[in-house]
Amino acid sequence: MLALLFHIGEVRYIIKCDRIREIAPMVALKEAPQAPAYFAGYFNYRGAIVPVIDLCQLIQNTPCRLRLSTRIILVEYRRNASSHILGLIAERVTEAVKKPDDAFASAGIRSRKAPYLGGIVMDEDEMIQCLELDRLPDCIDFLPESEAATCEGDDATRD
Amino acid sequence: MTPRAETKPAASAAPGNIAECWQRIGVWSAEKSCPTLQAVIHCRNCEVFIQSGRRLLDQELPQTYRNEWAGIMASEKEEDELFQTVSLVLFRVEAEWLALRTQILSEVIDPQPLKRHSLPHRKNRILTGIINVRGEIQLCVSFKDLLGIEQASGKETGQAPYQRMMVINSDDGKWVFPVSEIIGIYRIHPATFQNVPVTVAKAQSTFTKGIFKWDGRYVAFLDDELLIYSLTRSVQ
Repeated sequence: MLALLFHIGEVRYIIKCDRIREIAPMVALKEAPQAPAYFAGYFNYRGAIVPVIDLCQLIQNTPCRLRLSTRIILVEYRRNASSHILGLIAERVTEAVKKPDDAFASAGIRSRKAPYLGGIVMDEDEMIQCLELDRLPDCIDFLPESEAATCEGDDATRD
Repeated sequence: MTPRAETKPAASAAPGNIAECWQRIGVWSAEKSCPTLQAVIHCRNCEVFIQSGRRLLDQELPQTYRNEWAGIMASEKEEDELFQTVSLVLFRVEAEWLALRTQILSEVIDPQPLKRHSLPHRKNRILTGIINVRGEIQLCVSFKDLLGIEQASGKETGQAPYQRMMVINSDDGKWVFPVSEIIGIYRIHPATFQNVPVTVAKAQSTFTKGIFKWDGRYVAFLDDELLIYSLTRSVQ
């Protein structure tokens, strides 16, 4: 299975490619007032308005550094039989690797504050945590109007 | 004063310029003395080189970059030039240039280590024998005889180094046949296919779905279903 590697600060994370629609360069975003810090803004993705999450802000509470390698990963997530596109900003989105399906080992624990952090993949000697897209919208309160999910522990992570 | 003068070039070469090892000891240097070269052969296969290339992307964004890309991403995706093209493997049998769908191609092998065994009591020009491909016995056939291609004359003969065995898949198994040369795999747009002239009386034309021009030559795109059907009949 193809998977995308990227950095959040100095830490590498991995995301499975089957739900990635496109990798876009960093674009100018329309910021939203009263939004949590991890919400980077909206952008016009081929005519559709797509919300963009800053993963560095979400995971590490620091904004992504704006570099050429900082890119927007456009992912699809499905909820209630409808499909939405979400943009994720991450740093050093430069490499995709092939991993066998069984390389994604369970981490054994799941944090309530960060339920999107899933299994672990070994890459040589390094352990890389996998980001689970399905869990990501659970802790984002900026969702399509039909499903205003609330996130517990969201305020705690930001402070 | 002297130690300073000595350390200065060394210091500038060591930490910052370790990224430029390919110019000092790698393939772009005179001596090519890097020990890693033994294993990786060329700097482009070396992890140091790859990582240095990635680091080029760690630059700050140019001023207009974000707005520019915002405009590009907002517009419809431009259709790929390769959109709706078909992937074909081009090869040559004697003087004829032919093409088959890449999907049915299994592999291309060097004919040198292969031993072909003829089948006794079989006088068939098309079925030339059986052949051992990776431990499996496959039927070896002659496209030349199936398609009625004449022996090439002139400069296109005798290019033995280009001779290959092509292995194609079918529902009933694999077929192996010798070709004079493999040109490669290319994407061709179906709109460029021309019909076979009706006046062509050669047997080959019945297998030809269309003819297209590639690199100044006409290539016959073969109908693989018909081809495999004929091959199956010819060995029964």
